[in-house]
Amino acid sequence: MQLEFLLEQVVNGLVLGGYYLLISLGLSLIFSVGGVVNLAHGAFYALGAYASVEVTQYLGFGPAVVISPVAVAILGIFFERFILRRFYTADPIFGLLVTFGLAMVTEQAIRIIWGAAPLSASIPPAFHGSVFVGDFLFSRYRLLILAVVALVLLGVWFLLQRTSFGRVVRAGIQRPDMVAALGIRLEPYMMAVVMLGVGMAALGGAFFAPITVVQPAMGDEIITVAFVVVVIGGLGSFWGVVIAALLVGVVRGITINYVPAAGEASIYILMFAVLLVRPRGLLGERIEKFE
Amino acid sequence: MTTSMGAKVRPLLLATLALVALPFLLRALGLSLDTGIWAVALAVAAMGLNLCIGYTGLVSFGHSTWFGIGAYAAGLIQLHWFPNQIWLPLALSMLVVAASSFIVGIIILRRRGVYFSLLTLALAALSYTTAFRWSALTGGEDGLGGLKRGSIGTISLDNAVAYYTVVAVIGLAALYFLLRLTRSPFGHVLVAIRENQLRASFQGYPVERYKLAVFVISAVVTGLAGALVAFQNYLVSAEAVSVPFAGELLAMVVIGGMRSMLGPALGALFFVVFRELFSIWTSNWLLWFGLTFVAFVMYSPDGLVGIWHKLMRRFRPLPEEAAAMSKRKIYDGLPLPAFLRPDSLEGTVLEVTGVSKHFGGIRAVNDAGIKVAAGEIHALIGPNGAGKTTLFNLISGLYTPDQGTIRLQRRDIHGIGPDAICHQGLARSFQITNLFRGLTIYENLRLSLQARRPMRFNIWRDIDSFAEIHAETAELMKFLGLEGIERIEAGALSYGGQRLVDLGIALGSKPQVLLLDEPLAGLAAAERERVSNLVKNIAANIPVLIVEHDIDRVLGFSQNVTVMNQGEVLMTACPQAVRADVRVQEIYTGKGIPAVEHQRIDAVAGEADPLLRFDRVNTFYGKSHVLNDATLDVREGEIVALLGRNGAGKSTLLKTIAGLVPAASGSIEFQGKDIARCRRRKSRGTASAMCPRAAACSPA
Amino acid sequence: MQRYTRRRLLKSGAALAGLSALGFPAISYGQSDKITIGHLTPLTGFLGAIGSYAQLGVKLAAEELNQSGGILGKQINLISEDSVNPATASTKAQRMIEQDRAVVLLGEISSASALTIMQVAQRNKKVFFSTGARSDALRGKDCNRYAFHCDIPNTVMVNAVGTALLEKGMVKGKKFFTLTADYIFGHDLLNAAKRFFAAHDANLIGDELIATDVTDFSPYLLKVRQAKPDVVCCNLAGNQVTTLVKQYAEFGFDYPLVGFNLNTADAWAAGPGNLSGTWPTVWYHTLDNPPSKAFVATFIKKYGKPPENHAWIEYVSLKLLAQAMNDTKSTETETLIAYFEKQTQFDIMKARKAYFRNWDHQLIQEAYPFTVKPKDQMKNKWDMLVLGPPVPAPNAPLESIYPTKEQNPCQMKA
Repeated sequence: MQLEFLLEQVVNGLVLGGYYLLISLGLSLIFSVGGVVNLAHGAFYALGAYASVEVTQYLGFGPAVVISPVAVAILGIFFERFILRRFYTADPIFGLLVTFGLAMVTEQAIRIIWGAAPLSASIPPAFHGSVFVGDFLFSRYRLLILAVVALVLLGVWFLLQRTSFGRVVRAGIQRPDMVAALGIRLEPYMMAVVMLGVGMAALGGAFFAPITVVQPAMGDEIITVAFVVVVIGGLGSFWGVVIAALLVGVVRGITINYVPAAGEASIYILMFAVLLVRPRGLLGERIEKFE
Repeated sequence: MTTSMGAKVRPLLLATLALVALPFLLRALGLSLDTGIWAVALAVAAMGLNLCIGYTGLVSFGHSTWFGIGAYAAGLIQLHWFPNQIWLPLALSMLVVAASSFIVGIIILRRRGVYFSLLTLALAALSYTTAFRWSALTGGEDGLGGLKRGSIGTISLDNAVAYYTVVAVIGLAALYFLLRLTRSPFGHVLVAIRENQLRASFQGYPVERYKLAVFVISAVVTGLAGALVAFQNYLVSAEAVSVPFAGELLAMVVIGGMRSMLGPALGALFFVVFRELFSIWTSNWLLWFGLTFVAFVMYSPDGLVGIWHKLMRRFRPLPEEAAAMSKRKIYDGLPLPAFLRPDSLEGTVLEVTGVSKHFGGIRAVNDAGIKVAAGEIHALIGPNGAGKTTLFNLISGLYTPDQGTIRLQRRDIHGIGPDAICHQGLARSFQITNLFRGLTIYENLRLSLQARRPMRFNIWRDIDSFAEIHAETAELMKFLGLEGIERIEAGALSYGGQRLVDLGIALGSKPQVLLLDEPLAGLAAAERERVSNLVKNIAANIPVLIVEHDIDRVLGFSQNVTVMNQGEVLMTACPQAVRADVRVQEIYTGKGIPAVEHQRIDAVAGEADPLLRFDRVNTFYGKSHVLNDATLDVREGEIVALLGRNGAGKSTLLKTIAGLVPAASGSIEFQGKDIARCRRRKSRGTASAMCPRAAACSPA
Repeated sequence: MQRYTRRRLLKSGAALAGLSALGFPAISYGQSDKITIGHLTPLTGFLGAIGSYAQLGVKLAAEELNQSGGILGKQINLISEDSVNPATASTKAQRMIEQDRAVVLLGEISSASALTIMQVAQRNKKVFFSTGARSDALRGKDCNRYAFHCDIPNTVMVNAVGTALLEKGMVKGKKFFTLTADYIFGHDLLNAAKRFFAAHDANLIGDELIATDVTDFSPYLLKVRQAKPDVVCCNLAGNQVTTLVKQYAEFGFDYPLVGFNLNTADAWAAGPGNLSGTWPTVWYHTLDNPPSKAFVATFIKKYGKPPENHAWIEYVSLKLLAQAMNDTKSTETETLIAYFEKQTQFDIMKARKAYFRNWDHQLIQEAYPFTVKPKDQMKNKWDMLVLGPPVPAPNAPLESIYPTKEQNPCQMKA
């Protein structure tokens, strides 16, 4: 019995990890290509949730989860062009600080526009309830999320590994000067990467809105986990983030099973442990400016 | 070169004045003295944090942890052991913070840069969670209440004015301590670490110990502030350790200005007053604060103090640089200053045997050996990629050899780290100028001279009081020909001057053997002559191992030459033998021309129009004038080979064509169109595809 | 150097003069023709949504009072500010008393902040009406004689729900699984719950302590399913209740979900169709009581939305204070304390009158359990809750659901 309970937590952890992955992947991309630590990533997550709730009221859930990431990605254009771009070559601390400030501002702006009271959002009726897959209990809605995450992951992998866009991006992570020598301007690629990254965060927000509290400070909840995942996985590595996200989800699940009080602290301890043993994360590349 | 008394005392005077004026200012704004106590305590916390951020370059997102630990410790100590007193709890809480920050520091200072910052962020999150949930110890969400302020004699500290005075006095004491610290040898090393940690360690500073020390001191100062606030509120709550609070501390430092001592204090005052005032008017105060913060980071990263300085420079502009440079006095032919001469050396001073190093699959150095004897200038030559700089790096401690031994005066020095090696008596200069650009020339050199003395750990005495070091610095500057321009920032010097300073930094370590990595590279003819004479002067007392590409010159003044090729030592002999050796000639100019498959027809080539015209192009790398009116034509169907010694400018020429490096003047025409001005556009990219040296290709 | 400091002095002097000329709204310097009341409530942070309702309620009360002549013939000067966090709450409370010359303090929802304000009140010997804080400890081991507590404490919330559950036969011999917020408030709630279970023959088969920053409850829900209880009981606070409710609905478990703590705003935030089960409240806008309905109508007219329970508490509290001051013709602290300690009865727009118990200064009043309307029966997004009959029952003594001296001892320090 105990083993089954544990397994159930592990499987649930994997599902949750998949969700963390959606948020963290965007963060990792921006981090690796732009060299900026985007502490405002949670703000985009929150905007995605709010946009989705708004659109759901008029057009329903389906259109909402498509429109809201796109809308936030468009916001991402301005974010990249007018703010982030100034900090690519600066000392990383300034990127940290400016995005931190931006997160603060966005949270307040959300509060002013939509009020401090949480918005209500519900799961579309078709996905209510839980199902058994084998011996394991899943909520239908989370399976939907998992499917979406898998699709997105596949899409991003394909984009990075099989298209020329992806080749340029991966080269840009390693040797931006060489990319320049080949006559390619990196700016449009950067913008596209930022759009993709914040769009994914917004997608996460849109999907999580029905099962969490949609309130102005919701970005804070997700940002720390996202960072832990990115740092554990290592910068510049696609699979690193994937493994780290799943690992974090599972570790949390297991800890809650045995030592519930340490559930949330466990991921920080995990991060400390990984950083001390493998300073660049599990699969991270050596990126000079971060050392 | 000393700092005036006025400048040293000014921050303290300003602070005292501000502390006296603050209650009145607050009154006028409709705020209470409580706010003032808050502001002063936060100012102390911010200044403590700035010791890490502004002075040492360690950006900590987690100082709220120390603020909180200081507060909780003081509260708990009072509640359990010393009710009604605050002095002992304050003092003991500082010890608790010192101990905990020491342990944590050992763990997280192993990482640098952004990783360090992220670790501190995680630390803050972790301590908040712990404070919140370990309610048996911390009171959890309700906080640790029931604290008392005690009294001094008959004056109860519950009186706001009395407590404000106490906090103000403690604040001034903390400021005084910090001022002394930053003026001490220790404090100056912190700045060196911030500017160039690598060079500081090569100067002989155990950088990790300094970082740990400043981390602990900074934590203790912030912790003291936390304890003061705890007694102010009669309560410690978990908010004190939260991540948002850590961010606020950081915001105070940035907004105030991290390049000055009092900047963060100003930032703290700004924050507290801003928050109090704005939260009275509107519940959107955090929005305005956030916008202000973002604006500062984007437009004035030096904060309020930076803005103040910019304004001041309008009224009192800095002295003209050209004028300053003209004060330079050059003395030629001076002997090496006495204090730099090592005790008489005999025989083999440096002995390298069988050293190998590989990086991944590449064998950079294979079974290399060198002996440098007393009184000798030993040249190390070889083509690019031969492994010369790697060998230097192995000897000076940047890398650890996989095999082999390195002995200095028969003491083993392999694998012990650059700072220890420096103390053993080995110093090196760098191929790419490796200075403290933001510091004055004087300071660059003084740091070297300070590094091997015990007082380098002193945190209290003003550096001006060490007359001996100042005398030595002055003499070294004179020897190098840099007298008269002490206050110029190293980064503002000409390229030649910077190379001199780089050399001087190595020399200042009072070595028994000096490793010079291409000291003449990029210098104009006159400067080459001077520097060569300098090297000869030095070598009269200190054996020198020198890498150089100016073969003629270096073979001219060295006694012994080692030739390296592809990671291995080819031969070691006297200059004449090396010059005459066939193998040496071969590795430089090649073994002959292999048969080419398709023969070029000379006639056709001669008539074609030039496809690429490169006309009187000048290119600079920073100060270094690399391409000098370079001219080149490439015709259609031609293969043009660029040959030349190292540092001749071949790669630079290619990069200028490709647009990676901008041409300062001259024209570059491709198919008749001027492409000198367009940077890296598609058209230019299609004009030239550049295949760089193997190491620069991406794995993709 | 001399020039430098003098210039700075001049600059700061000019700044001072300029700023004073601007005139700050908060400066009152003790105007003697008004009665200044200091109000603190969290407007930012996780209680911000509820705090803003609280502010609306107290402002409405102040307006109405001023329109009918104020207190003792003088107009009320209400200073209402964001308390932000316990430390800031303490600083602001001190400032309101010292500089703004507030005669009483009012407000707060966070138990931690309320505690600090209580201590400020004690040091300055001013009355503090703690309107929204529910922790038992405030009325128990941390009590002091200057503080009066208007909201129902944890024990009462448990008893309110418990009584309703008893009547539905969901208590005796049933297996309960609790999910508790792992901080003092949650622990308090759990202890009260345990007492209730013990007294009524119920089984507590499992309890999970959940950190306050948890946003994903799936691991805990899995554990719930593994334990197979009869009733699942929520001892969380603030946003977490809403999140748990939503995720509980997401998984669609059969076990009834009840809770011992909920604010109406949290219920509304859960969204139609997600909330179910039985929960406690101190008041709801559908309460069938004429003065209550009048208040609701006025509030809706002024603000466009119905009052949340904290708006009501604040409204009532200020009115109580005004009544006390008018009756005693005084704003003196000791007079007011004596007045309340006489256990004077007040009309708080409920069926039964309320009074402050003299040994712990708790406002003894009715509470209500509520259940949830199915989604299709809701007329609008606020029409979510169905108020149950008041607890205690009309013939039972009002104090029967409140903690006794043995359960929550309070030693009033003078």
